[in-house]
Amino acid sequence: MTVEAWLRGKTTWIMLGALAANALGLVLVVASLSMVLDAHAMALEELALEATAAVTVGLTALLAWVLRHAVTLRGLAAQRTDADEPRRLAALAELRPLGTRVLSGTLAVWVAAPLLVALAWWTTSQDGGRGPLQVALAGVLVGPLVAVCAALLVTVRVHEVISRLSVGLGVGAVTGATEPVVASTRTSIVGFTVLFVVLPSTLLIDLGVVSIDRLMDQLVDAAPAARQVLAASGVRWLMGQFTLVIAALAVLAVVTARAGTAVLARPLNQLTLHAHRVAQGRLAPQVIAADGEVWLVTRVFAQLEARLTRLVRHLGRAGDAVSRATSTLSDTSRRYEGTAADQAAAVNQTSATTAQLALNARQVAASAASVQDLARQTLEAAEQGRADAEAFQAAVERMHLDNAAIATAVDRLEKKVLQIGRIIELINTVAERSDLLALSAELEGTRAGEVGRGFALVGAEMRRLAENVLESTAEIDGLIGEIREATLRTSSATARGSTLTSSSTALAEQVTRSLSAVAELARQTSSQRRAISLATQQQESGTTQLSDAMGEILESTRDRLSLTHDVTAANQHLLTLAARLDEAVRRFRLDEPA
Amino acid sequence: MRDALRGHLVFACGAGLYGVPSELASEVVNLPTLTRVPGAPAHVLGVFALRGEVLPVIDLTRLLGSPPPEQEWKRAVVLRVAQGVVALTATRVLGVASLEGNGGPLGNSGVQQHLKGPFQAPAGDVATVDPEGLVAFLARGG
Amino acid sequence: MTLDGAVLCQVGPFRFALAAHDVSSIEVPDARGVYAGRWFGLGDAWPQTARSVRAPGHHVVVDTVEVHGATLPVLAMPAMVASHLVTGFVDVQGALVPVVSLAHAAERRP
Repeated sequence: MTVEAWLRGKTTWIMLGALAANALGLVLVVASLSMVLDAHAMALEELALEATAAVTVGLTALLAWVLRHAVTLRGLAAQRTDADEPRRLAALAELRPLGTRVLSGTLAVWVAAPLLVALAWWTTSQDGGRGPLQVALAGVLVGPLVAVCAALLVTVRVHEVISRLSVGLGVGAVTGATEPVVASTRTSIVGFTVLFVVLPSTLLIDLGVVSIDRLMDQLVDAAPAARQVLAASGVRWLMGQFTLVIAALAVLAVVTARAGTAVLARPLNQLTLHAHRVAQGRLAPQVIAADGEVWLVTRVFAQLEARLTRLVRHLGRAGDAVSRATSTLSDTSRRYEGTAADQAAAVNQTSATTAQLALNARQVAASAASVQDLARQTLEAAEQGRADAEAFQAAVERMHLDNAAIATAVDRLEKKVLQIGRIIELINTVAERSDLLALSAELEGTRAGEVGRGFALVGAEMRRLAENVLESTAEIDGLIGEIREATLRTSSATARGSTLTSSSTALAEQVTRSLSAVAELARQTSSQRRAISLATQQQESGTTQLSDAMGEILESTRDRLSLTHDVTAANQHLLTLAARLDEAVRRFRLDEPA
Repeated sequence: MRDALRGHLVFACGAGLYGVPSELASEVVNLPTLTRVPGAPAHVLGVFALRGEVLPVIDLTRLLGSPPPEQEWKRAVVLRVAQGVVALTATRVLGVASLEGNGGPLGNSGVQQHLKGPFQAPAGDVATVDPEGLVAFLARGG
Repeated sequence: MTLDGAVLCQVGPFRFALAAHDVSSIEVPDARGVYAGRWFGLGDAWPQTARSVRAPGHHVVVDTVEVHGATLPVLAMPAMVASHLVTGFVDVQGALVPVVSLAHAAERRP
């Protein structure tokens, strides 16, 4: 239900209490006056009418006056205007003095109306006796009671309206708009007590004295026989009237007390409920309307809650921010940690490499020393080798000459052998023919018998010679073949030898040159080795420094890495804290205003 | 029967030694280039002309079915009988020698029936060839 | 006995002679021809440039052909050489060339 809907017709509703209290007061006054006034000339009915008229006029004036000061509220209640914040604040400002106004207005009506009636009575009939005085006294005695009752009843409702209206409005604005009604509770209670003890007592004593006095007068005036009956009926009537008055007073007192306690207790109850909600973490700042010290308490509480709400909101935002920041930081830190680890590994490797470099440099220095030894040995060997090579070259040249001589000789031999071969061929042919001839002679000799025997013998002898020749030439042929083979081999060998000696000479020259170059290089190496030694010494010291530096870098990187670990751990801790903070803030439920 | 066969011309042909009666061996010639005779049996190596006469050259190893010689034919022994003239290939001619021993025919059929042996000569065992029988065998077509 | 005109035929390294009056024509060989190389153990395949020598009822394929006009004395065939082809030999520039009778050859085809 919206505030606007709730506000419909609430102006009348607020003022109903005041009307009821006035009606009760009127009943009280009429009852008490009827006890004291029947003996007088003026008719009771006429008096009641006059009093009611006076009170009604007064109340109407009071209402008009009160409502004239609550234009905005009336507008809201009649649904003529929107319940926006300025209007609501204005309505709150109008509501605050309503109770006080009702109090003072009602009091004024109740003092003025009986006085007016009494004055009118006194001026119209000179024998009124105590009548006008009684009327005035009743008005003065009942007026405060009715005023207080009406004011409290109105205040109770005003508080409710204020509570409704101030929902969703800033606590500061509401407290600023509703000025405190400064009245201490003690004063109120004392005043209340005085009012409801002293004034009714005075009224009842007055009523009692006057009514008993009047009854005594009636008894004195009456016949003795009728006195007893009269006394009994008179006492009965008085008792009834007393009862009526006391009941009216009691009702008034009870209603007032209820209203008074409501004014005091209801805000406290609401405050308690609200505090309970706050304790549960549900923050919804609201101004609880009250008066006096209670108002101070509720106002402070509302301000406190508003500030707490802001604080929690800030805290929540801060927690979120911290959480986000920590999360980012954590990520960064983790990344950095990874990078640092990589870096450490890299530096570690580099350090190892550098150490190796230093070692290498030392090895180079050592090697350079051994190079010098080698160079010296090489120089010696090269010098020796050069001498050997030169000797070899000379030998090869001699061999070359010998070889050429052999080749010439072999060439001559080959030609001779060819000639021999041709001669042998000729001899062979001759021998062959001789053999055939001898064979034929032998055959012929054989056929001639005894006569040809000698011929046959000669033929056979010739054949043997021819065969011997053939055998010899075959042998010579074989020898010639061997010689030719040998000369061929020799020829190719000398040819090869010639080539070989030529290339050997070239080779020997080359070797000599190479060895000279080697010797020169060895000499140079020896001198360069000194330079190398110097350079390697420098390099060694340099690499050693580098190695040390790398060691330091490695150390620092390790430190950094461990630091990063710490940061990561701290971040983790921070994250946990942020989470905890978030959890704590979450415990407060911020009921956002509608 | 043990008798000496006198006057045999002994020659080598392949692995074996053969002898022909020296009165039938007219001469020994160096073997010239031969003319192949188409349609002739394989043992006829060819023919050559000797003093206007065509002489067929017979390869004894082919005729006898023995392995062919390692060296080339250098000479030929010319046999002259009543039926004709023929030249037998020879790797070497050893000369006229007297043969000893009592050899019999080497076979009962073919060319073998015209060979006898073995006979002993200074150079080794010799098989004698019957020139008339051989020529008659060849004239029958081999 | 003489040969009045001869046709000298060459197959591979070998030669033989035919009596000129036996030969009717010399032509390009056809598939029915018989290569004379087989008489000398040369196989049956003749070269591209071969010639076919024809006689009545017979013809033989040879590598080359050369006609010899002069009258040549014929040397007798030795008695102990049995050949169905050769009837004798002629002396051509100091070399013996066998004279082949195609009639004999036709009687006994190679």
